[in-house]
Amino acid sequence: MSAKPEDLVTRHLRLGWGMFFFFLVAGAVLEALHGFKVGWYVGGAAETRRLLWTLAHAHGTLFGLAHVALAATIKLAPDSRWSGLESHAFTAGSLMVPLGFFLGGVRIYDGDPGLGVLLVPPGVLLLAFGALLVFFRVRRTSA
Amino acid sequence: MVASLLEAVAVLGVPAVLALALIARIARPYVRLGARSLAIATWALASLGIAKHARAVEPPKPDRPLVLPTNGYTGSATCKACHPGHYSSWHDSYHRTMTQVPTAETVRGDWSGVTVVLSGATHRFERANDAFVYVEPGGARHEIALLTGSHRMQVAWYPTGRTRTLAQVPFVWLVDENRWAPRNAAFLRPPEISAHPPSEEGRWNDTCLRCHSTDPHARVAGPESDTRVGELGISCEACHGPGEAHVRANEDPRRRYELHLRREGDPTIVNPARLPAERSREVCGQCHSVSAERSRAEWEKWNREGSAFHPGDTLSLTREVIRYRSAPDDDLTRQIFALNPTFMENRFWKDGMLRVTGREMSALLETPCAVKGNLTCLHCHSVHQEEEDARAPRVWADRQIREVARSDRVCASCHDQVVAQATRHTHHAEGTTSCADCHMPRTTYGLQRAIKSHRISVPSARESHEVGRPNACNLCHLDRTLAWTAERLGEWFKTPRPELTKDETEIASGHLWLLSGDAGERALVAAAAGEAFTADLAQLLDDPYESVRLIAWRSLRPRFPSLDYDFLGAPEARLAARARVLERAPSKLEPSIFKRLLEARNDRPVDLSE
Repeated sequence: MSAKPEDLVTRHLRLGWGMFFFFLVAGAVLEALHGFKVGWYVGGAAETRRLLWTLAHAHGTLFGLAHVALAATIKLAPDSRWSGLESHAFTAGSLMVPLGFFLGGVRIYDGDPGLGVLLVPPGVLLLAFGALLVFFRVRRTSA
Repeated sequence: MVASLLEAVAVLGVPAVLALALIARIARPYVRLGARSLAIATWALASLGIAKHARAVEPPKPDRPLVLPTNGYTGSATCKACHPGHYSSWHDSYHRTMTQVPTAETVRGDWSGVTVVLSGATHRFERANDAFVYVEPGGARHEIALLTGSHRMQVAWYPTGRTRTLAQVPFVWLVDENRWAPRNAAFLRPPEISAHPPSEEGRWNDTCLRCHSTDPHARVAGPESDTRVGELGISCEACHGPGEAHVRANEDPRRRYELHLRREGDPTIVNPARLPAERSREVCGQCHSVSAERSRAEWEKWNREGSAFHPGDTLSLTREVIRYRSAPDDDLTRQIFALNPTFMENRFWKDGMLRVTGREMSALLETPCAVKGNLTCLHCHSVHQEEEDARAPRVWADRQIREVARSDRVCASCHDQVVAQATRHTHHAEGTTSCADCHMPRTTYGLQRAIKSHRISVPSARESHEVGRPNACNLCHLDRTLAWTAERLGEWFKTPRPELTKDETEIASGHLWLLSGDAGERALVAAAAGEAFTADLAQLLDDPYESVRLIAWRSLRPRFPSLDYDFLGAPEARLAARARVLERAPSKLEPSIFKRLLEARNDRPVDLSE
């Protein structure tokens, strides 16, 4: 199983810049919620929500950049045997983690996040798996 | 201390050595780090860490109450990790600040070096770096150890040097008045007591801590004490019970989510809102009631071991909630009357209605809504601000009234027909009166204020005639006579009309209470009196009781903003202020009647134990 490097580059560039834009705007929205002192976001009872949505924003933005970095990696190492699996794992994980944080903050149980946060652990595993695959591909190329 | 240092070495020293070893390994191709320089660097880092850690775990001072959660108590900081919302609203509340360590943030008073003169002696309040210092007239300097209160007034305590026993600074800071006042002037106490206040040495250790701290252990023995508390102020575990088992059980997230999803209470902690009505009231009532240990032996046990009562327990197993009696009728009341013959009259009206604030459960116990209808404190009050409550936390914290209780909705949950036809029931225009206006009049005194009665009652002229308590109708209609009230209530509700005196039939009730009432009545009515009673209020500017003078002045002040008056000023200055008010607003009563009512003033000593 293999994927065309140029297709992967295009996919991750689009996704990366798209995510970067989206989560950047989301960050501005969160700042606006702070600015207008919206009770369900800045109130003492919303501390967990604030934390989770901040995590969603931060992770989403970071993963957007990670997608761009992955595109650059593929571009720099087109001879590696890119199977597409690393791309799918990385993509799924990078979406699941911020989505899990966001959903976990929608319905909170005081100090505990809502059940949406359950998306985060498998998302992290997929990300780690994807990153590991990328590492091996690049390592092989270097060797 | 040794254990703390060892812990510091383990926590900070070991990682420091490992980190340096790693750096040395990585840097080896470039730099040669000798064993000696490595050792010196390790020692320096570890010393820094130890010094910092040692400062953080400064040992508790032996001259003030020890704060140490034990017996399953964990402290509010532990609760915060899982309950940030509830922690936050508790943090906004005045329960938290019932006792605090003095800091720039917690101190309300003026400690900028101001002096206050009392009976010719000069007292001084100053700051010395981070410390707050009270300087006695003789020059003795006392560093303040604790503060109690922060909402209406704040009291400061300093170590006596006798073990952990504290003494009280003889002045309190009145928050609304923004000034120092002699301790007894802040309460409704007879002037002779106020002028010669008893010593309050040890009072925090054996009395205040009971309701100004969490899990208090007085451990008082004469002038000495080994007082310790779980936490200063009224914190989470005062109402929810010790939290250690709850914390341990909920370390497992599966258990937490099971509880979240099943929406059931957690049996490892008490939620007063889920308790049966009586038990729920008693959580508040452990402090907010007139109650006492049944015997000296029980008090000794409390003194030694702390309170055996935990939220959810039956309060009467630990303490007796004392109901009004005109004469002793059991062992406990015999002891009470023997120790303090005015115990009942200092707390209750003659018909058993509570007259001091802070003891509201005792009032609820006399209320049919609680006895028959399961009314609890939590129907109207919320110790945590509710999510739907849009008020600023500071506004909510003032009385912790629930949003729903700011209208008649709580009453309507049982009395829906009456509330639906409120105009017919009250004979007042729609929206002009609430249930509480008539059934919870401001006949309770405390904190230099008139406060709503928590015995929900039916207004009558009889209560004023027989007991002396202002009734709800006349507290609004002070310009009307008691006979007028009796007439209206008789006509509207068939309330029996009492035999009234000639004055009660002919003279407006406001004049009777302000001029002839006892100090407690004068204080309550002065808080309610408006422009029509300016002359009566002017008379109270020279009342023998400081608090009555202050309350009268508060009612007059908006109309006389430029009048130079100090309720603690010299008698001549007070009389001059009174004369100036009377010049502008002479009494509408005939002078002879005014004089007669004043001469008939009830001067029995009133000492309200709030």
